[in-house]
Amino acid sequence: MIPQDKIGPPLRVAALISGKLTCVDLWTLRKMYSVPCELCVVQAKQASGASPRKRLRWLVREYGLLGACSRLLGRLVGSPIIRRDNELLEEMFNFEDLQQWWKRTGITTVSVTTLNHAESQAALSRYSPDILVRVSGGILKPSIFSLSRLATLNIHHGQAPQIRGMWSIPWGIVEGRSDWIGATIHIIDQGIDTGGVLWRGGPQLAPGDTNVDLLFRTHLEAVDALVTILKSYSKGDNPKVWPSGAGGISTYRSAPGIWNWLRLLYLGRGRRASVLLERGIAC
Amino acid sequence: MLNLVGSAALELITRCKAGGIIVNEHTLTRDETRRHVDILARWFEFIDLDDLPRRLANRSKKPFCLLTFDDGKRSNASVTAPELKRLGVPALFFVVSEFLGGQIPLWFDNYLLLQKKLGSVPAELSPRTIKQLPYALLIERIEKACLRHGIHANTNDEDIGPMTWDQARYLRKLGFRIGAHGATHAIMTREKKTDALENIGQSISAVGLQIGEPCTSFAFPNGNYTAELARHAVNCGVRYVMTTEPTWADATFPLWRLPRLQLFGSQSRTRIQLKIVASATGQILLNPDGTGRAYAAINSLAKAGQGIQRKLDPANATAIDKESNLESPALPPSAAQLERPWSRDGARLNYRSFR
Repeated sequence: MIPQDKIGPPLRVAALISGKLTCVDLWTLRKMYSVPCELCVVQAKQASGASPRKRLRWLVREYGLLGACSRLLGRLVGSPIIRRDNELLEEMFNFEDLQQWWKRTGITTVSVTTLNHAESQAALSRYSPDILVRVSGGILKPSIFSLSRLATLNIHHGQAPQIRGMWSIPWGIVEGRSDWIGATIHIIDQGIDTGGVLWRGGPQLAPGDTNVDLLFRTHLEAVDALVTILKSYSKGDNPKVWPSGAGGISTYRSAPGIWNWLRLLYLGRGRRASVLLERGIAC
Repeated sequence: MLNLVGSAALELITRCKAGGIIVNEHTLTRDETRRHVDILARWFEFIDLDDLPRRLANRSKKPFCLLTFDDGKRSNASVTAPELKRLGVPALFFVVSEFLGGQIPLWFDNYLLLQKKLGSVPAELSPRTIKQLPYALLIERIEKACLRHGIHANTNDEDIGPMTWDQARYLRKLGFRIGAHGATHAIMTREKKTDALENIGQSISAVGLQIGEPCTSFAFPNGNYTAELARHAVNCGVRYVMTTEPTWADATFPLWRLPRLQLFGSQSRTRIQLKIVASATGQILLNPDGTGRAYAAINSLAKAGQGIQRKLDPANATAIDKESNLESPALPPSAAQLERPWSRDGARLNYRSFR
């Protein structure tokens, strides 16, 4: 029982989402909804405001012509795999049930062009959230992540700061790094997945697992941890920031090129990866 | 024709191959029990759990067969065990500790009824999906579906309801062995690690307390395992840990990772014989735990690890091999001692080397 003098206004939480609501997003929202807080969703219509030409130019500048081509080819090879992965995730998270829940709840949703757009900034300023949670979407600009009173949180599907960036679980499989597989809840700052860590953990790795199985189990654990963190904020506590735990070594990985997509396929998406198989014989 | 091929192949294999098989059954009628014993007795010698280390280490005239029954259904105590006793066949019964003596059916009995009623289950209940879920989520999803379709498995059915602890103790009195099979029938690798460890520990201690002697064996529900979970089971006091890898058991397997070949009462003589033949290759059969043939690669990894260990530390190798396979009741040495053995000389092995 909370003492009467400690009961203040409920925690105001804004969830940031980009594009259509996926099963992963809905699972996160459903669990966040169980926290005694006032929840609002800011949903962007598109991930980025940049034109395809601008994005292509950035890709070439960043990775060189060969690297850019490899990434584009990778996207070509990877898109059917991602589609299939999403179907599997929808089955595991029970997407249909989540969609019905979403229709029933009637959570306030503000639609904006992109998460970094002025519209989004205005909407968030009006709402003045205590906590911002980036559920999906790209990198947030300081003008957005600084709008929360207490913290802006992110679930990174990889063990930061050991591995930062995207596709961390498949990178862990491809590069044989079990210590990369997992998730991190961290405070968003200027860098990519560099902010203070509030929780870090991972699922059990077992022979026969694939990247989708691991993502599913990782997300379940991460969202449970997120709920605990939000509950502690709502009680007025400030969750402790964990020590980095990487021994100073931090790797950044971006989207995979064609070679790494092929490697993932060759490894049966984890089923033939020694990093998972050896879990059957070694701890 | 297939029967002849199966018999001939088995004749050959049982003459050449060391070790034997650990059979994983669930429920059998009296007739099925007799039939299975009849088929297996032709090629194998039935052994008790205590004989396993010796039989794994030493070659005998006839390969061994250890019969195990999972889950602790009532028919195990009322039908199968009396028949086995009459036939003089030893067996090991793995029981789900929270299931015993209760009225709640195991999740897969409800699931099978659901499958039967619906014909094809919706995607979120597909066998692949359902076996990926942590226990709480799995139960919630199945119960919701059962409620919607008015299904509830009848625990008065002897093949669905559990035996009581009294019956389990009586089986022990008859000379059968009782092992642990989880507190619930959760698939341990899908749980949070702490939950899985607790579940394993609880079941081992419950069996020990109820039977009145230390529990010495544990079988992973659904077969999914990791070395870490197996080590925990060993630390909880068991000596034998069993999976569902469908291969023969021989001296290359440590006691904490014993393979078991799954058989069902409805299977014909031909099918059983061919299945045993296929299991002897260690490559063909799919693991019923849903990991396909990953076990073949795991076993190659383990053997390669042992080989490297021997090369790196020849003085220790014999002791390690001996300990890992046969002698050590205290810990799973292969896991502890072969932990990334290749990293010692910096030569990291990759999967390609083991294919």
